[in-house]
Amino acid sequence: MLAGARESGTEVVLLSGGTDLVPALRSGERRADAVVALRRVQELRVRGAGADSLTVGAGVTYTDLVGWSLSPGLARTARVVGSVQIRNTGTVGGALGSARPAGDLLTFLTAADAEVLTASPSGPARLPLARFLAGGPAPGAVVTAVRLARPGGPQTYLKIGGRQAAFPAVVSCAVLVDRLRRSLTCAIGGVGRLPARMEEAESAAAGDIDWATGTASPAAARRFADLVTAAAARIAPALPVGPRESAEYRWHAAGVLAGRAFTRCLLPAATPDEPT
Amino acid sequence: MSGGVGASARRPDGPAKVAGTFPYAGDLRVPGMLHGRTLRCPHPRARIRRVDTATARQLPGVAAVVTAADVPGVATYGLIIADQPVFAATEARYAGEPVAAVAAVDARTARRALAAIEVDYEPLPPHTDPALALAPDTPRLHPAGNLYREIDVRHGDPDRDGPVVIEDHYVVGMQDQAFLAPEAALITPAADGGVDLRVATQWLHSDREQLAACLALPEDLVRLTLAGVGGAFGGREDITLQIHGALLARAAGAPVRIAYDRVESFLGHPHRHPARMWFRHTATRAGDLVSVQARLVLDGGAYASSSPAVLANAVTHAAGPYRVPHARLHGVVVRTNNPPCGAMRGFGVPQVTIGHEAQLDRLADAVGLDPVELRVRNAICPGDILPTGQVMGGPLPARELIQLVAARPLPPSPTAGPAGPTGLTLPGGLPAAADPSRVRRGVGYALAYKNLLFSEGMDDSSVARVRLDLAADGTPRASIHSACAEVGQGFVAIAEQIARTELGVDQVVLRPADTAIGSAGSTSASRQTWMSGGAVRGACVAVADRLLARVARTAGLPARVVEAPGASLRITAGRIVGAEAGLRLTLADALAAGPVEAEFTFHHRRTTALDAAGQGDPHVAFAAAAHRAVVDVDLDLGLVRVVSMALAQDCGTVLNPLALRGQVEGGTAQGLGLAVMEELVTDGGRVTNPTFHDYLLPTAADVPDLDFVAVTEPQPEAPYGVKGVGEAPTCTATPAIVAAIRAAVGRDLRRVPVRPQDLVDLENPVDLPGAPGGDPPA
Amino acid sequence: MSGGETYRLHVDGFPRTVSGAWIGDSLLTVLRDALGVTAVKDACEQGRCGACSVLLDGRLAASCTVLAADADGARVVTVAGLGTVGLARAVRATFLAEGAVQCGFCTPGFVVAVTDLLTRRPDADADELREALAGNICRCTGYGRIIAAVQAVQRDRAVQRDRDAR
Ligand SMILES: Cc1cc2nc3c(=O)[nH]c(=O)nc-3n(C[C@@H](O)[C@@H](O)[C@H](O)COP(=O)(O)OP(=O)(O)OC[C@H]3O[C@@H](n4cnc5c(N)ncnc54)[C@H](O)[C@@H]3O)c2cc1C
Ligand code: FES
Ligand code: FES
Repeated sequence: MLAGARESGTEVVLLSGGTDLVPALRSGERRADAVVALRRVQELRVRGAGADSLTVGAGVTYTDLVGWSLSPGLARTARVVGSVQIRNTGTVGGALGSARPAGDLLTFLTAADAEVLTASPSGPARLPLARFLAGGPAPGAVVTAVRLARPGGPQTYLKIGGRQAAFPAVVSCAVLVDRLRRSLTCAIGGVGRLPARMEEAESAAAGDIDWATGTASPAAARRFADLVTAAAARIAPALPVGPRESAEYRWHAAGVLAGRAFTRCLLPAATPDEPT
Repeated sequence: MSGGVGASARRPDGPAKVAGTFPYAGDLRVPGMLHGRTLRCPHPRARIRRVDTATARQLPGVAAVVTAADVPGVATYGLIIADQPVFAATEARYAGEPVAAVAAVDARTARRALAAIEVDYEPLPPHTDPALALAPDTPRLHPAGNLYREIDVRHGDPDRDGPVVIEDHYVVGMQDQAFLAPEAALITPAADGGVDLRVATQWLHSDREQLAACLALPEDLVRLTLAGVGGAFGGREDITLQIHGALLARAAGAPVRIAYDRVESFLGHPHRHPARMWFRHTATRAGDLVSVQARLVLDGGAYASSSPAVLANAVTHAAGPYRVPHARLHGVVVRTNNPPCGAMRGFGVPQVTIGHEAQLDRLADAVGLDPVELRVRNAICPGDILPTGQVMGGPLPARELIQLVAARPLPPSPTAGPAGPTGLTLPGGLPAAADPSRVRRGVGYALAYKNLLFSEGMDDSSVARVRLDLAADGTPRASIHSACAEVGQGFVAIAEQIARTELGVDQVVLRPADTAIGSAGSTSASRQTWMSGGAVRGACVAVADRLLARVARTAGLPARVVEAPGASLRITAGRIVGAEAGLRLTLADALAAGPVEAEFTFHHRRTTALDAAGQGDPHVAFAAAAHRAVVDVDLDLGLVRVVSMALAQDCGTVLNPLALRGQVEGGTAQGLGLAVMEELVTDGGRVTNPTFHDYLLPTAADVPDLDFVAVTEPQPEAPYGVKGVGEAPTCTATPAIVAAIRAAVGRDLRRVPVRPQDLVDLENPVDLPGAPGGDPPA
Repeated sequence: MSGGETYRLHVDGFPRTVSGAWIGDSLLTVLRDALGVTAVKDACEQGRCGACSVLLDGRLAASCTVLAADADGARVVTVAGLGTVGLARAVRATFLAEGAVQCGFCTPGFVVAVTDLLTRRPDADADELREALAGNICRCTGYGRIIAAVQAVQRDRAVQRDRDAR
């Protein structure tokens, strides 16, 4: 139906919670001649766990994720999105559909190497999140779920913004440690047009971490932070800066957040984040 | 009789408000009404070559399209100077200036009609730097020139210096009132050729005067009734959609609902003036102020609004509530192609308070005094001479306030408590990005005073009419009629309390505020409790007098009693008692002979204008406040959490303790917003963040509990000894928080709102904790 | 779904038919303009202020972010439908007693949000209350009296619970 509609020139839009789409329709930023509502499609609302992966349906809301013990990192990310009203309504599918540069979930999923599952007239497909974000969904495709690995160690998500609660991220950072694969992954949101992986810092960290104990030194944390600051400055294309946060501040904050996330995941006295 | 003056009486509009049935202006609907919308110029400065409305007029469902050509009366309006076109005709001077308006059968058709209006703009280079507004090569942006007003106050010997000198520049950004209910009105053309408006405004009669002039109607044919107002804070003092809506309703011959959404609200009303300020304070080594010099540039934006009066406030308050032997205070407010600025809570005083309080903290450091001690030492007292030559009348317990607030208990240290700080209590909130080991606490103080009522020789007044009669059930009832705009501040409760106290009745009803009665003046300048409260009280006293005279006459009491009945008779708790005359009857019995009614006009004492040297007796009275702020700052991220606020305020007699608390808490929160987050940002004259997504307001998680102490010395000449209370705390909250941040990070701050990037050291590498202290639980 | 069709909403306990509305209309717009339910307030229409808060199938939502047509068949509860007994009544009463209402434009949204919050988290501490109510903006009160009102409800309910337990 979607593909057909597109050809005939009418604007058919997908709707999940509506938190992004409905205000955009009102302001005229988005147009719609017809709406395909997904909110009550039960199949999209499931969360599941396989042997080594987790699958989150596109219709799962942030509130649904907040208490999810199988993925403390995802739970924590969901917990710091917007307000109660937005968490109750906004969904995973909508977050992917909107692909906001500083979307909290996108940053976390970028660090998690998530895959996006879509359905379209040409059948189901799976593609890495980065590719999905770079190219957008195939015309007529509906995001049905995201898939990510089961946590293999501590993970955390940190964000900063303009006030104490209910704020969009200015800069954010996700760090996931996988002790089995001996890898650390890190994504920074809010600096570039899309969340960016910090590959150089990641590989330096892999070498700095004592994998037997899953710990690292304060010096390693400092090095990690510095590498992220430097890499953040190279992210392209960069987001236009606002008057309240210069580019330099964003790079600096990216490094600070990365250092802290690293510390919380890997320094001996620290405890990884638990969801509330 | 309960719920009189001094009680925490409930608001009469409260039950409807909690039930959701209170009718706000935007809720009003009548059958057959049209929907009005405004077309706004997207350019900060543009010549308008042509406005073509032909296509829009022909769209089905479009009932009226109006432009500058359709304004029958005066083409411009304004609170003080009528320099703002109803619609831009040949030149638009700010991005967002109205160019045309349409009325259509529904909002979507109206929107389509706007899109169908063709305007041929020739964009001109905008002039948006207030510092250059008066430069010789800046063109005149308006036939009236680029200077709204200049004031130069000279006091003592302005060249005199003390040995300790503190000199610096400060910048304050543009704050928006952001009242929660956007502008709205329902406007109906009347059969008599007039027009009826139900509108959310701060000042019905000023609206009427401006409407009548632009519509070329006699004032009595322009009738306004106050519709429910969802906050104001100065932002509804100017005309916004009133004239446009009236033109549409008259053109279409049908009722028009005209309402803004949030974006249009941000573009539609004037904001708080951004300021650039230079201060030079000198003092003795012991810390006694010798001189203050200030130079202020306020950006008035494209049109005058209340800029001239805001400047007078800023300049005359620029030295703060301190004894200053010598001063030179100079200010200009200028025209630019930025959005117009006008009234907002504090009216010019918050800006200068940010400057003088930062200066005082630095002076305290320079002379080695505690900031509280320095303020105590220099605080002004009644009888002292202000820089304008005005003698400070009493009471003004500035010294007592700063001492009181300094003595309040401090909150526990950041790491105290069994659990330590959690995300919620850390700078940056729940995402817990802050690192407790990198959080520093700071404490800061600010002291300010703020004038009450209108200044500079204005003969301001308020009218009220009170009627005492018997309700259908035979009980005595007072009805009050006043044009005072209830915008949320609680005048409706105060008016009822006054009537209960003066007339000894339980039942009081308030007639809707409208223009059927004389002006009550604006709900601003902390003036309504004093002015309209005074008018209600005066009318009640007159009603009581008339009733008692009638009673005395009927009872055949001596002429002396009939002439001055108040001396021997009084109304108390539903009875009329006159011990001497041996009279005792119920109020109900006395009213059986018919209702009694009286009108009263309250005036405040006369002030004078400022002369060429800025000297005079410009202000009626003052109220002072002192805040202490405690903040935690994450040194690496520049995140700030306001941990606690304490306020000591000079309140005069308290008429309603609960309403007082609400006012000072609200005022504090708005000051907090300006300190750390609220800024309407312009880029080349265009507002870049006209939404609640990008213009952040404090939430419940940002505003701490307020530890509040009221000092209640009665104000002579004011009814019951009241003072206005809404503005002073807005003036002090911002600088106290800025001072606390300065104390935490150890660097001087010259820009408000303070941004995270101003607090972190971007030159030096990230400082991570050596020993992890454990992660804060989320 | 396509343009201009008809759907049924269930508002405050009553079935309401909406016809001819634009497909893109928010629940807020339809409630206020098509159904005359003006107890739901419009202050930002961006999900940022909570003035339009309703319960949608029992969950707190900003009605300006919900597509009206997508609420077809859902139970919508506004401040007017919260009822005049029990928790909602207590919330309204303490809002008045504690001075939590000034201009009142935020109040309907707050009453809905507070009722929802105290249903889910009756014993939330002050910090949690403040964070949980961050989706509702009040420009007048500075929140002090609002938090005081919420805590007063919590105290009254705790006393009530103790009494019931005995
Ligand atoms: C007040 C407010 C606060 C917010 N705060 C935050 C925050 O703190 N952090 C944050 O990350 N985000 C925030 N957001 C953005 C939030 O709306 C998104 O994160 C949310 O996940 C969108 O989900 P939705 O279901 O509401 O999407 P919708 O609005 O329904 O859809 C969004 C877009 O995705 C498309 N779409 C929807 N479903 C699918 C699908 N299954 N497949 C393909 N495309 C689809 C739609 O067509 C649309 O273009 C905030 C939004 C608001 C209004
Ligand atoms: S109007 Fe819906 S959240 Fe503001
Ligand atoms: S009471 Fe006015 S916005 Fe809350």
